[in-house]
Amino acid sequence: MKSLTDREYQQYSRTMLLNDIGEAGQIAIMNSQVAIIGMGGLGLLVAQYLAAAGVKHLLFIDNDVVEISNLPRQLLYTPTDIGKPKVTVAKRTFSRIHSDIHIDAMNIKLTDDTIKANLQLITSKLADVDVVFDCTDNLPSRHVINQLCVQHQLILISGAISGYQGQVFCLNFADQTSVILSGCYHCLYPSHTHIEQNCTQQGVLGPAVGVIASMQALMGLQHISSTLNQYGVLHCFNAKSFLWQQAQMSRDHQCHVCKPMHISAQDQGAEYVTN
Amino acid sequence: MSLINATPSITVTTDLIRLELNGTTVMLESDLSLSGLLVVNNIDVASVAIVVNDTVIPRSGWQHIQCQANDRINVFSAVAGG
Repeated sequence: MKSLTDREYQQYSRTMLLNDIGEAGQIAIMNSQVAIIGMGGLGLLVAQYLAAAGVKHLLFIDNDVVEISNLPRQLLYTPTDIGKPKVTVAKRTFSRIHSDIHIDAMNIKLTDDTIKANLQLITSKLADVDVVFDCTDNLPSRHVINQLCVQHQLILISGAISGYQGQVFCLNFADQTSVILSGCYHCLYPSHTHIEQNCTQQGVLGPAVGVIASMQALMGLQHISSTLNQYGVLHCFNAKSFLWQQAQMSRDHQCHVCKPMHISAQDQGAEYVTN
Repeated sequence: MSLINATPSITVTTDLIRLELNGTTVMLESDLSLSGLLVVNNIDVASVAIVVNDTVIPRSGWQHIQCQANDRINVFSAVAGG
């Protein structure tokens, strides 16, 4: 797509009024492809924002089914969806609301084993993806997704919330300078990290999930429209005090996940200087 | 902020430094490492991230980095829910 129709001009006029986004940014959004892993509270809302903003190609990955306890914060699911695969329900619902978008759904949990078993399929599906949104609810999945993004040099927008604590950040693995500075998810939370509480144990309020999902979608749209200037910044939100804190993320020099890229970047930098 | 719910320990010795821990001013022994800071405050080392002066400090460095006077240290719980 290189230009907008009259109807699209009207539909996306408020986005394009932002000077740094404009028509070029809107076209970039409409030409983008995203992967959303985890179609729970975060993933559903991220998908809603992106689809409404004009993203036409979305890949949904999840292996959960809709449960009654999901309904207060996973707003597109209804009581009649209980027991059905989330990706199936989400694909059906989004296709009904947005008739002109293409949705690919994978009913699978990303683990080391499932990735090995489906490597070619997963690689092909991620090949043209502009952004990967990690909206999962467990640490092992987050590590697997991080590793995939590092290996395929993708953009990772990670959001998480439990209780009143939310965290969100965007890492650009396509930019090796950024990797050297900010590292990866494993640098922040190594594999042996112990999650003391999750949503199942600690609970969560739907709107608090929405805050983090909104931030993920905001980062994604800004990245796609080339207006994001904060990669590698950890944003922490306290949903009790409504306070945000930011911190520059740092690469762990002992991290084995993003180390090969780090070394490669150094080599390239040295070669560039020498020449 | 994703703050660890811990009451900062105050140890009375002759060699103390003043710093800010999770928004509260505390006095700590001057040779305390970041790992030691967690231990003193009964915080599970494997369940948090540490930010010193607005920069995340990777876990592999915690044993080797000492708290400095006037540091602003925040300890965040790891969260993974979605």
